Amino acid sequence: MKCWPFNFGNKNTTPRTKHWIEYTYIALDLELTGLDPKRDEILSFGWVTIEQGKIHLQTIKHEFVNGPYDPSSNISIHGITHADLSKGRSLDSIMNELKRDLWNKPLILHHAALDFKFLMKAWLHCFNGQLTNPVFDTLTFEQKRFLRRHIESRHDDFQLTSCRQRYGLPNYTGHNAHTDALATAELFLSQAHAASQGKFLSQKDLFELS
Amino acid sequence: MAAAEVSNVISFFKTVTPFQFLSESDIRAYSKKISVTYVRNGDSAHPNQSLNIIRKGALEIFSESQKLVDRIADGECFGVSSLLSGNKENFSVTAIEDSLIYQVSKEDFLELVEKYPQVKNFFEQTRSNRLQKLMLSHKKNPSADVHWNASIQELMSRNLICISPDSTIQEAAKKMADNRVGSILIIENNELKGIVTDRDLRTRVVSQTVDIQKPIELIATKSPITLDEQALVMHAHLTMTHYNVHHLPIVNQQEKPVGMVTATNLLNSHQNSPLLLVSEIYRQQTIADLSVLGRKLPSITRNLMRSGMSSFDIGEVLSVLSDSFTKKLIELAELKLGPAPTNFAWVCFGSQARKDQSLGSDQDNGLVFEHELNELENKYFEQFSNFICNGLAECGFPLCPGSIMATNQEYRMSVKTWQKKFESWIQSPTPKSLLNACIFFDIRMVHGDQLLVKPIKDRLKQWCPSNQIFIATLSRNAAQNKTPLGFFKTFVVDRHGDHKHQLDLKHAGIAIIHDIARTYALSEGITISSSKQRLLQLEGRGSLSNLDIENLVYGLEFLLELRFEAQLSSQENDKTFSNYLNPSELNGLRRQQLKSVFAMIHAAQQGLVYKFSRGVMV
Repeated sequence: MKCWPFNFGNKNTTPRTKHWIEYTYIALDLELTGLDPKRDEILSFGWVTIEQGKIHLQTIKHEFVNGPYDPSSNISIHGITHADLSKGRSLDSIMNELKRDLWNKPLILHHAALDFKFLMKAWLHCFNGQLTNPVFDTLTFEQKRFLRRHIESRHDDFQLTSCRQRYGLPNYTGHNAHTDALATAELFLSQAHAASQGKFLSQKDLFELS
Repeated sequence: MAAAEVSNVISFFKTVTPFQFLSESDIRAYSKKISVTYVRNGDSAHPNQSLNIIRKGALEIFSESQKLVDRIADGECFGVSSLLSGNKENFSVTAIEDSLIYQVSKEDFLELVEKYPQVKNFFEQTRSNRLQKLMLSHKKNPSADVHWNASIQELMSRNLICISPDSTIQEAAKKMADNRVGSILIIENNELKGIVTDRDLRTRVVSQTVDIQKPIELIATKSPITLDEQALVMHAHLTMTHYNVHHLPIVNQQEKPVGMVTATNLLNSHQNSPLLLVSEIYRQQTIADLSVLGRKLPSITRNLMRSGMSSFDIGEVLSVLSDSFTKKLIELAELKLGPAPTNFAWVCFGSQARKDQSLGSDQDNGLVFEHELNELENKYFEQFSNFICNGLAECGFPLCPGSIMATNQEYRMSVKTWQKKFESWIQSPTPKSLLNACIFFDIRMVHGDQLLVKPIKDRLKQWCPSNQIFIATLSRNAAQNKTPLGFFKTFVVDRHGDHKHQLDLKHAGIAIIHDIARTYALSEGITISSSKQRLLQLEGRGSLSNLDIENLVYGLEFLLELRFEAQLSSQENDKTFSNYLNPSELNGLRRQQLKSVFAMIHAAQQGLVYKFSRGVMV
């Protein structure tokens, strides 16, 4: 009997999950009044669907939250006006729509450390529950890529625009939630293609790279 | 809820032909309906029954038999053929750079062409162009005001004014006057027998009082200079200049006359011709008038570029022009100061010597004499040099900041002293001294006595190949400049300062190729100065493979072309001639080419160091 390598019965040769490209993802970006989830609020949401490796612009959404806001909060930071906000919708109705769109879909964020906290807070507030979708952070993916190759980096190497430049993606002017969601979705596609190099790569394995 | 608009997508569509034909509201509507996909370098794109527009990137289209049909980049489309004809797409498409692609669905596309016939026309043309390219692999005719590369047939008049050899001189003159032309062809049995021009009538008839009733044959120029109908406008120009004729019959393959081109035709099509400028330069009598012509250099360069002329040829034209300015200034100096008291040779160094001048290159020059100058002669040549160098500066060739000019006493020397100077560089080289001195090894005579320059070049030929330390030092210096490619094959651009996000084409590319060419050439005793010629002369000598030579020549041509483009656009903006380029402003194809050129230069640097300094990099 062959003792080594140990044989633990049939080695599972079928992939853990399907190829990443066969999944449907949501890329999302938030505009915030500040960086502190305890104190600051979400001003607007932008999200778009990626299906079979394609971003469908027909699915792109841009929603302003119509308040209420703490009078001291800084809304002008993103070029958003009170008029924009007053035409917006309630946080509840936006979150309900997002929940429908997000159902069973992995989430793509750039700098998840920040946006995901705000999203969790809103989720808890609206649904009294946890957001459990898998998350891919396009920023962390980049940081790990630099580390793996032992390349020194600077802080601004990981801004959305700098990351996109490294993949030959176009420069987008004007930043708002839905443009940045699209920009993040495109960055995700190029990162995923770069990681899989034309070979099979499961969604789980891809997400572990971020 | 309706999808949000993305202003970046809309503004992109407005720049893409044929979407400009769409109404504002349709552009908005259709830009909401697209899908975005991404194709990695090397992967194939699947048109998937949709119209594909390259947002950013570059792809190659292949025929069924794997022949390259087209290269396309930002703003260009593919996948149209199957949508319009309903046939299966026979072309395959492969990305040669990571590409972001917008797709319009078949239904949306068909709706669009239904509504906008212009759009349909455009795409049908694209399709037939591609098919045509497939059959001809024909280079696109550059749309340009100046048709250097245009076929002569575009310019020639097909209405031949001709007459039989036995007609009288009077009949011929009358026919010319009636048709208001300056020449007439003598044709017999559809064969071109001769030509008679206005000038012939004046010099051979009127001034010699020949009887105008005699046959025209008597005064005709038999078997005149002709040009084949396949020739280019450029050839017509050269032929006329060379043979000093103003009327050029155009003949087909069977030597039958099919058209006529005159100097006037050519002049009218070349308001900004460099050849015209040369003759204008020699007509001027003051520096002020010369400087007016000097200001035309950018617009001439622009026209040459538009005409699709290669950057080497443009460099050649610019050197002819700067040589002409120099020669004219020498003539004016001698008029002003009296004839030169002794034999001299005016030489140039660096880019002018290499004939790869760019716009705004500063002057590098010097003087060579038979013997050491006495005080009087030195005084003369000091004034002489000042006149010429300042004159050149007025004409747009800035003074050399390092003062490598004939105005500097150090660079006005006898043949012997020049030889000693070169000897000291070659026999006891230090990396630092050679860094500054290598410019002198690119030396070319502009005006004067060729016999004064030859002994210097002969010495270089003799000393350089045998001095290994000199060659090793040159090769290490050539490896010092780094090409701007980072680890991820991205461009390393300046992060700060005036040239943020830009690449230095000169120091990070062009100069390195010059250094490489110079080192190999000197190691083989080749003393010609042009980098292209140096490289071509190295062919078959074994030190560089023919493929390396071809790559370096191509790389240099490409970088020079990019630099001309960068210079012309910076000149439009702020009147300076910049050697810097922002790579993100290039289209995908160009970026791709630029990356492979830098990678090739890097490999050539390593090869050079390996060969001549046993792999020791500094």
